[in-house]
Amino acid sequence: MTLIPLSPLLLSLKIASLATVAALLLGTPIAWMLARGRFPGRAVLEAIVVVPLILPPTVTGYYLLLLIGRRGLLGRVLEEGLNIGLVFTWKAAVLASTIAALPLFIKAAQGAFEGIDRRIEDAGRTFKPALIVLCTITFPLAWRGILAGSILAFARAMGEFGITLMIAGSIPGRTQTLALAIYDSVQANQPQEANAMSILATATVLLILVLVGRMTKVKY
Amino acid sequence: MLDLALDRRFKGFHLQTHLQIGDEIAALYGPSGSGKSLTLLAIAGLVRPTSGTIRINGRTVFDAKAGINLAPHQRRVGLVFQEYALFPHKTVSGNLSFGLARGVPTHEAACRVDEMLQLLRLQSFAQHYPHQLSGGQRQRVALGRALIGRPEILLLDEPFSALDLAIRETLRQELLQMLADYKGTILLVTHNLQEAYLMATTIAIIDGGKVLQMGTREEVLHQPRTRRVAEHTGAKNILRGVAGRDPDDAWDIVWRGHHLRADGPGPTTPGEVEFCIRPEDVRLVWPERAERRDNLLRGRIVHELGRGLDYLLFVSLVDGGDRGKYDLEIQVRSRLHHLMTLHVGKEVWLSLPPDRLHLLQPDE
Repeated sequence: MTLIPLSPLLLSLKIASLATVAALLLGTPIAWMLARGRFPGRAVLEAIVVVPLILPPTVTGYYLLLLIGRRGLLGRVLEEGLNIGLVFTWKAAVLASTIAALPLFIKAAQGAFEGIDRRIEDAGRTFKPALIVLCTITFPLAWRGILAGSILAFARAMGEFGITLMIAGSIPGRTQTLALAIYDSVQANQPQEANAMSILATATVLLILVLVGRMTKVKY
Repeated sequence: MLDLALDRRFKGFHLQTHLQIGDEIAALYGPSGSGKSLTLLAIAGLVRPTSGTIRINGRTVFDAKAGINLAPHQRRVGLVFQEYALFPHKTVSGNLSFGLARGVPTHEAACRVDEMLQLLRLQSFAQHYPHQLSGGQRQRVALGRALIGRPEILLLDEPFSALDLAIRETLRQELLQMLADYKGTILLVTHNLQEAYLMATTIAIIDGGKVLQMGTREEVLHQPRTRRVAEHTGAKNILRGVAGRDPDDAWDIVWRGHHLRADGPGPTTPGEVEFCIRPEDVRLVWPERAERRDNLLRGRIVHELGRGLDYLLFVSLVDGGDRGKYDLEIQVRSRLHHLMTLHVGKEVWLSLPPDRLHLLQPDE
């Protein structure tokens, strides 16, 4: 049996996991602000958040390239100040997946926060400080929505292709994720490899979805 | 004790509430959108007024000028929300213990939760979740959660509106019993006058963001200050006449050519006035006793409405009546309606008792 190249799968899992965590940490406060905050520019922020969902991934990738490339605004600071090169590394792939996953996560989490009856939080605030209410009332009531958002984010990150190609390239063993590897094997006319990896990708995602579904049964 | 004066402008609504309440049960009564719930939220610290002050037992919890604005949990206010707003992911015990301050030691907290469960008669429901409880049980949990931290003031926002009509009556009495031991101020918000009367000793009538009148429940019901208050408290018969002083220093009102005597206070200067009498205060008089009654009028029933326990009669005056319309709305018990064989078209003697005839101040 020909060897199924496992490294693209492992790389994909690693990148998607990191991107999900990043989306969770970055997206939760934004989602909460969009759901509960009243501040100028809220509508603009809400629009910006969904932009990566609508733009062609190549365009999003191109913008990111301008931003983090060697001569880009952020890229130069990182390169010269901290000696971190981002472009065409696995870190760029994580960034690509995070940007792709963020809108889905934020929309799901925002919906979860908006779904909480405000009076329940208000009731909490008459007893405990706002931060405690956030941790013991708001998050426990929103966690299923946040989890659903995370799953969506993970799934989106696993399938990320366009943005990754633009800013991380498709370097075997370094930035070539499963999605990119499948594309390459089709291009190289290696259907067996493409089949194997496609099945692997499908099975992995299905397995994760089933496990998460079991974990999130409603108790109350 | 609660002492507040607050001001807050919204789009198309201006809240300007003034209230002084002692350690008693007071009701804030008004139609929906009158600002009564908003006032509660402001007292609890969940809505911030633009200006004004809020003092609880002399302690300033809000003062716009001095820049004081205590967070809700620092105000020692217990708030029972309209639909109770229980924490759906916490058990009855969990909901109750959330109401305790953070400093309370674990064993004491457990004791107080047990005590409260007993008071609420919910011992066997300690581990139930809110969705497993009936409406009345939920109300008790909400009340217990608000009381367990021993607040100095208890606020109740439409406590019965989420319940079936059939069990409201029982639950009102139940609530009063549970509140009997509570020593602080209780402020109840309701759009039901009967409920306000039943629960509270003092009633404040609020509309358009302003307190129109505040007084004992009897005062508010029988001595409305202005036409607007009279309309809110269901005086129904709001009439217009010319008032002057009679030799006994009572008021003499000329209405549709009849002289009526009114005993209560009135405007400072005689002249055109509005006055009112409640439908249940108008007396129907047996013809043989008519001579001995004050403010006697003869009227004809033009329309009637049977409501089971009582009838509403719409009566037009025989002399000076407004043709095609009615002049007085009268509420009589069904029994009396039967005894006097009342029906549409019948002429009856009416008496407007002078102590029930009430003169109104002009609206501000």
